[in-house]
Amino acid sequence: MKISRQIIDEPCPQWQHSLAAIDQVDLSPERRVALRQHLVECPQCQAVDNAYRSMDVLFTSLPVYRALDGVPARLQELLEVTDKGNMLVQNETLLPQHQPAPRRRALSQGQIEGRRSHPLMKTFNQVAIILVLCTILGGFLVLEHVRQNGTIGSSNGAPSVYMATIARPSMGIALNTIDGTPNWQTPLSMSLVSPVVSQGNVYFASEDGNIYAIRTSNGKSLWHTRVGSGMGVTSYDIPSGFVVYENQIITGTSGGDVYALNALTGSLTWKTHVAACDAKALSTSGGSGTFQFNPCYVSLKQQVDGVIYGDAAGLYAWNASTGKVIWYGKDTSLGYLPFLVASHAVYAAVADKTGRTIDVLDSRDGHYIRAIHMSAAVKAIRADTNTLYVLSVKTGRAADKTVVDVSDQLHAYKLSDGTQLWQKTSASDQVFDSFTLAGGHLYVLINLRTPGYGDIASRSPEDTVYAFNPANGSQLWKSQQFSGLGEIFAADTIIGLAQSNGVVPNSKEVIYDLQPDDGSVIWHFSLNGLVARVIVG
Amino acid sequence: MQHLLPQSEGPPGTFSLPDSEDDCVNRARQGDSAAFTELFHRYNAPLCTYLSNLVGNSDVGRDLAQETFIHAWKGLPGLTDELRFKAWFYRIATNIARSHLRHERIIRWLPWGESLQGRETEFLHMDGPERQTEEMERIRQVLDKLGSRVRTCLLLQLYVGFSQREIATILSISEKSVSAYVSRGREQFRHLYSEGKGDSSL
Repeated sequence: MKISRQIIDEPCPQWQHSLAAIDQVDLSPERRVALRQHLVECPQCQAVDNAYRSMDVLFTSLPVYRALDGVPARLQELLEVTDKGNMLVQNETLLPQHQPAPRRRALSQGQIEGRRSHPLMKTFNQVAIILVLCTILGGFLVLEHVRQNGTIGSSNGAPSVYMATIARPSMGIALNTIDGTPNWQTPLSMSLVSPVVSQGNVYFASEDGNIYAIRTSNGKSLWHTRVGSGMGVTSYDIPSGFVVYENQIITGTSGGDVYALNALTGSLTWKTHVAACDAKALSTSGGSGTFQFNPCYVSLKQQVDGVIYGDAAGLYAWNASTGKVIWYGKDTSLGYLPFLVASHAVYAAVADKTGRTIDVLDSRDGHYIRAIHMSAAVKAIRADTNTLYVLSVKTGRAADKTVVDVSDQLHAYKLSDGTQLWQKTSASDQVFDSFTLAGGHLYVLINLRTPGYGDIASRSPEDTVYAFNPANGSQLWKSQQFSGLGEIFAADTIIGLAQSNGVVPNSKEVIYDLQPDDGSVIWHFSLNGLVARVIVG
Repeated sequence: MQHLLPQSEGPPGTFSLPDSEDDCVNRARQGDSAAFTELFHRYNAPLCTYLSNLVGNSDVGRDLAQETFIHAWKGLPGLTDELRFKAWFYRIATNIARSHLRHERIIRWLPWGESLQGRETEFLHMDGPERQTEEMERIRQVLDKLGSRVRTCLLLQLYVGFSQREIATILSISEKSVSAYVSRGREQFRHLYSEGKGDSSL
């Protein structure tokens, strides 16, 4: 069939996105009813709706590629090794082992033919013929629409690395993850916290009290809005980072507020204030009364199932849709160190004198469930789907009376019942500096210890990144190509490390992209000034 | 009437129900290689198709599938919730594909001419009408033009059949983001596919 040009049906603009939703399940009941009504009256939207349904059928009949010809040799070797290890157990069971014949085809010919003759496929062909009979003009209009909206061709398919520099003049930067070259950079007021990516934008929190929304595709500013008075001589009221919920970005501030903003427009969806912060602020500012330094920094950590968890003079859980408090920490006098939410529980390191306890609370109502008692102070906690990882540090006094790390331990606990899965203790000359989870690996930055010096000075300029298997703590690889003091942070296989002495503005930061299999450096990107944490999106 | 149930591959006159997937996963998790071999045969074809469509190359798709099975076998002892094996497994596959796309710089696919010549023998169902084959090739070309996140979400939902909640877990993004990617993907796919029809005089 020879076709030269055609028009593409365009739906009514107000229904464009609703029509594209899968079976409209994402729409509110009212919107769904209204859409159905509209479809009855509008043949153009009807045609588009039919085209979508036909498309879905096409997807179920994707080209079936050739599968692997039997179990690959590498896998077979691994399986045989295990078989030898399990031989005794299998013989003892005396049960026949079920081993079905290999199935080489995903679909039988009958199934394929069945899909081809599906009624929706026929509908699709009819729609296609109608489309073919339309004119040239629509095609051009669609291309122009697509070009202007940047929906096609705006991305090369690869994620980007986003970061903001802390040194002045501060910049928001996007790197291409393929080779580390900058996609764009844009001036910002200094940003202290991680940006976040949502709805095709990256959001930066700035010390001038503004949130900046930047298009990920081209670095152009979409909107900015003020959520705090900023960092000034008489005030300290800045945003503290983000969580994302549906089409909102939500941020806390050092002024004790929580703001939910529409991600596309920056308009305020809701705002709430942590009353406990006021009492704390008054008691702190007391004397002169001129400097409103509010120590009640609302730090939002996670959004899980429509609930925002954060720290603001105690743990808080807010409803992400309304901003209403669901529960808050009963004993706010203690305060908490690092915490996270996983498997319906909040794991929070208690900021008492020893710092050795992790409280486990029910994430739904904040009720105490149990405690995990450590032998040393909790330094950092992370979690994946099934496991809680805790970095603890035992400190002591060196000859010059300075506080030094004596030993560090990394523990893995089963989230379901708190049993310990494995633990690693630093060698006598090692400091477990920081650790993070990304891309299925557990990365630990380890420094060499120099006895007799203070904590910071004890660290060698030579750092080693170790990658461990989170499941059993076995070492996957180590890499000794880094230097610096910064906390390690990672996203996918992008690893960030601070270089130099860590003093702004003379410091340098280097972002490394590591090969996940062996830790070799694929590319690195250097810049002046520290960066707030790197994210990939 | 066509058979609606899978036919037994045992001796004539016998019929045995295959082990449930949960049972296979449970046994494989405990190191039973025969159970994992069964999982291999269950997932081999759909996984190769998913990965090949994701990276736009059949050979690479098969290599990545092999890596996926190896990673899965090594990681199975750490899987504690066997009911979620499928999501866990496709998460491994998707991460491996993403890593490959990033590190091997396979972002720009093969030129159209080359892709048409080299791929024809790779499809299993090439014995249909010529027009059907062209249509399948057009689908693949359109998929290649979508952003990787959009393509991944579309394939996971419409081809593999995951719910948006499961996809959110697999990709570690919000359910709403998945919904947005899928909607955007459908819009883009419709446009590109229709444009492709307009170019079918090539």
